[in-house]
Amino acid sequence: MTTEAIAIAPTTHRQRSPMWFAWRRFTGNKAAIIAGVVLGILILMAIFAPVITPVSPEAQSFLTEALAFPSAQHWFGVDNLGRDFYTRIVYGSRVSLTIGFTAAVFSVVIGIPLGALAGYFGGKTDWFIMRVIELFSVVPPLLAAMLLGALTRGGYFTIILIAALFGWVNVCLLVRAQIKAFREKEFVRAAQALGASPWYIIRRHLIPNSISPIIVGFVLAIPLAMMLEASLSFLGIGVPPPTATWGQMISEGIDFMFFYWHLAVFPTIALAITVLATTLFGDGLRDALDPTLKGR
Amino acid sequence: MPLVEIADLKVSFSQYGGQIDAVRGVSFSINEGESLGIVGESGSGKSVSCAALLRLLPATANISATSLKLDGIDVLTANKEDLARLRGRTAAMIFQDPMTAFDPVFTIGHQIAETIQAHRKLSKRDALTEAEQLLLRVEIKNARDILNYYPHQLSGGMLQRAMIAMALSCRPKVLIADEPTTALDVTIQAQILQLIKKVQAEFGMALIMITHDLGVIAETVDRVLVMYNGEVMEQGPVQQIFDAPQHDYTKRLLASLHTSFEPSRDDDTAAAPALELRNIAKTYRVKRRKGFATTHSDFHAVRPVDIVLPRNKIVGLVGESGSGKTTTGMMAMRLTEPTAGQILVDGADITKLGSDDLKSFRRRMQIVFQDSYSALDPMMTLSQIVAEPLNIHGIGTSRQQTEKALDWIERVGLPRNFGNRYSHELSGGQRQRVAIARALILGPSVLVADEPTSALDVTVKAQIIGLLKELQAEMGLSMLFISHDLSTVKSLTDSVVVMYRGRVVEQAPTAQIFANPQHPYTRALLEAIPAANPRYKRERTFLGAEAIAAQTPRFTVIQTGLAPNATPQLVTIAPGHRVEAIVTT
Amino acid sequence: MLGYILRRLVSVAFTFIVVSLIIFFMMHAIPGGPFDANDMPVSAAVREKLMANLGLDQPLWVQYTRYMWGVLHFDFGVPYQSPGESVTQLLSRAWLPSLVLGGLGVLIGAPLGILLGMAAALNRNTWIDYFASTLATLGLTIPVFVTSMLLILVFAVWLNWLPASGWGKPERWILPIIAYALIPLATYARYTRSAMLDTLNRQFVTVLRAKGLSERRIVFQHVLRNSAIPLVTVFLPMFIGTATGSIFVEAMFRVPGLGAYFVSSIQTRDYPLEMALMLMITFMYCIAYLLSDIVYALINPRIRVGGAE
Repeated sequence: MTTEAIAIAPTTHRQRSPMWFAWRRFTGNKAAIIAGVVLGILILMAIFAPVITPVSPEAQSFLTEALAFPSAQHWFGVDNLGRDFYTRIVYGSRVSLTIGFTAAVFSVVIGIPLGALAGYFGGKTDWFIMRVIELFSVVPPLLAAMLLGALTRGGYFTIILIAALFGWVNVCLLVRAQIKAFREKEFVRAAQALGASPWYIIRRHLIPNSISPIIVGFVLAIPLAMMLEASLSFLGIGVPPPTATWGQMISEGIDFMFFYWHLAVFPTIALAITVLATTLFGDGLRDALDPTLKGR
Repeated sequence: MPLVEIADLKVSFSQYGGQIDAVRGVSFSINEGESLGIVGESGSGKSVSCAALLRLLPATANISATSLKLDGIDVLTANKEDLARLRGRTAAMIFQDPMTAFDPVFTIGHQIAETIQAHRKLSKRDALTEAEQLLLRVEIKNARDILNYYPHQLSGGMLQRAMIAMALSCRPKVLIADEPTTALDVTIQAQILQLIKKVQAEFGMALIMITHDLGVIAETVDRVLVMYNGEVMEQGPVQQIFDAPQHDYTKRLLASLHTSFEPSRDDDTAAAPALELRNIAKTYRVKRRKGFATTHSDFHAVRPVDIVLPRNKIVGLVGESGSGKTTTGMMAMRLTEPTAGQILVDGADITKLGSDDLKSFRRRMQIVFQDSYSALDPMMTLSQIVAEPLNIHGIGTSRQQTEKALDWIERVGLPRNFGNRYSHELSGGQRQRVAIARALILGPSVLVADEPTSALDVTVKAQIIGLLKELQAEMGLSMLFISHDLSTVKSLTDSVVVMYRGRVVEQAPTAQIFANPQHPYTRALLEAIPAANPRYKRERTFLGAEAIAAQTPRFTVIQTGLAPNATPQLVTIAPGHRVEAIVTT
Repeated sequence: MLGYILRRLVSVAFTFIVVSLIIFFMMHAIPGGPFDANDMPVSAAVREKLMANLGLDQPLWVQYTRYMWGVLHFDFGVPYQSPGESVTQLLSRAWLPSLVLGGLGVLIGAPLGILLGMAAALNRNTWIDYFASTLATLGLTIPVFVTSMLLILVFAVWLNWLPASGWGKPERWILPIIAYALIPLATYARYTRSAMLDTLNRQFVTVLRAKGLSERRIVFQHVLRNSAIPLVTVFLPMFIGTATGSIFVEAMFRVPGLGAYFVSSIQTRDYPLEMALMLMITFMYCIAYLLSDIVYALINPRIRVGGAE
């Protein structure tokens, strides 16, 4: 009687979760894989910084060789205060990556609940949250960050907070869009018909289906935060010296650029590579996790 | 020389990890003026074959054929200019969903005119005049206004007519219609099919009608091609196919047209009805803004409606789009809040219950939806999906829940080991089975089924209806089956409620509705059903809304025992049979 | 339509006021006034007199209202760093370099980006596509001061073809304009490519082909029109963002534009200048978003014509 139905079943035997497909798509994207590997190396470098560098980044041990160009003993040369430049660059990655990741975590922590509320409840809640987002979009983030930075005179934690303050908007919008789209789906209605509370539905159905925008939002918030920190340090109101941070090193390096190019070039390249790697990795994740692939 | 000549056509698509063979060696030909119907379920390759004829397939398609000729020209080796001339001029195509077939940023007039201008040297003004003529020929009365309308401003039926006008604009020799009426209401479908036949005759074109609906085939074509899984199963004159099918698959298709079941027994009229909707209504406030002022108007989706679902019976709720049937179903489940009226489950009023009190009632009534794809959470396994109701109501331990879920998966006809699969791995019919399992696992007494089979293939449709019927008998369920298709309800329901524009216009036991329909709208619905056999095909006349209102049955005070009233109201004319009528003196 | 515009206007005005309030109060919460930045010790009495002169001793509400009143008359006060002129005068000198360089950057970069994006979309998965996508990605991810630095190093220091800095003769403009143009180019290349690919996948394009229209007509008339909508809405905010001058580009190329003044105003805690710049830029963004919304409503027939049959 109903056995005919089984004859038309598809032939796949193995369990293929949606995540599996995403993984397949991701591994097909060479740029993203390379970016991921580079990112991994950078993270390892940051963690093991003391192990791979000869001296401490603040140690002005090489004053006699100040401004020396790259050589065998000093791979990236020596800066104007006699510090080994290679060491400073490696330690600089610590600052950038920590700030990047922590700010991204905060962005997600703020963005997800707000996005979920706005997407699920709509109406006044949505209107209110959108107005708040509008406030944040109208003010150019860098200027506002500068203002806040000047207000609080920089400092590690403040910068993370500032970066999170401007990063949550993206995550919130992504989550909100996804939840709005899924809210009208019939499995949500079915859960409502079963008597599930809104919180249950958000927790059990909507958030798991929003994993993609959440991951993407998180990963793409990292380079934004890093750039913000670098910009603030570049302008002198970021992480204070003598902590090695790439933005600051670039700022100092510009003054010496015409003669001692290595002081400006190395931190610039370091920053560029890190930002590039994180962004390409994030893009790769987005393309892999988005089932409505555009243009592939 | 045949107009269309296809010999051994093969089409495959390159995809992730391999090829998919959509068409495996299909051959047929058509002469001028002939009509051919290609019938098959989804995945049969019928649309792909015709798209290949005009080279409309994406670049991922590999096409090969011994012969693929249109009007003598080899399509496979044709250059760009030849192809451009073939498309639109020699063969024109109309598609399933008219809303997505038009460019949203240009007016209808512009889009028809540009087709004309692409093939002939005409000025814009002349092209528009011709466009207007064409629109009139497809029975669009206010053609001049429509020229300036944008696609989103027209209804599905109107857009489909406009698409036909666009296809006819260059006097093609063959018209290819790819499921042109699948997305339309039954009465509109009948009108469009009649229109297609009319213009085919008037313009002397050949017609290829691609559809999954055998009724459409019976109405419109002379020859039939039956396709399954990329191959031709059977070919022949339409009467022969219907009366003496040779191939098993054809026989199966025809069988699903004629399924009939016995109605359910157990008349337990003493007990309270399983579900009762009293005076239920839904009104939406529509805000219109002009400047700073906001005007409100009321849209009555459902005017006060009474529906009774007796114990252990199946009631069909039938209507076209805009009738309010889905809204009524949603209100019964309190997924949409009624603006007025009461909902009674087993005699208890649940209209105003808070969510906590309502929760216990939720166990007694469940719903199955139309779109099986979005009915299942893509991130959950099947056993999780089916066990969810137990989870929400806290019944049993996690292991017990999984066990029960797997039991139910088996009960709806799927293998037990499917429990670890995800919804995207299943076909539409299989997903619908899972949705049914989820709905019934709590053992509800009422099931609302909102068009559960509308999106399914014909053979699968019959299976799902069979399953529902079986489960209903086993569990003593009371079912409210919402559908736009009278023929589906014929084989399933005990009684039928017909809705039109938010009101109930007729209500009767199923046999009565089909044998003795009183209301003009019910009659129109029945008229519109495509014939089950070509010998019953016929010309039809269609009633507009005014005509329906004008033909509202009239009964006297004596016949009905009610006070005279100019507004139509529901009047009982036989046991269990009510009609909306005007009571005169 | 008119109602829509009016409502957006009110919404934007409201946002602007809220932002101005926040900025104002934030700035006045910054510890240390204009006098601590100098190392010139000032006696308490003189200090009080100067504060009174600048109106800094009044309660904040009063200061705010007086200030906003002035803003409506384009009076932003007097900058601390050059008391000889008003903020308005100072800014009227400053915005020109930013506008010219930034504006030209966008006006050159955007069309090039659109062309690149179109080429990529129409030649999907060929080398053109890869090249364009890579360029777009690089343009968006490599920070602008990196590109500025590279431009300076390559063209000014090593090849010595173009001057590296200053604002004066047009040849000094070339490098900064290239630096500015990269972001609009990359952004538009990306948007155009994805919008066009989106549109090309839609059903009505197949129908257009079935009608026998030439591919050329399909792309330029239909696909472009449909893809244009997101492109248009993104233009104004981008233009404002670039034409108000990038802090980094102006720092690197030593251009005395808005960006440079913003930096110095923060470093010298020059309230009037800071406030003025923030308000001005915020205001321009508000207008940009408002105009974008209006243009979108005009282009999109669903909003313009509304209603169904």
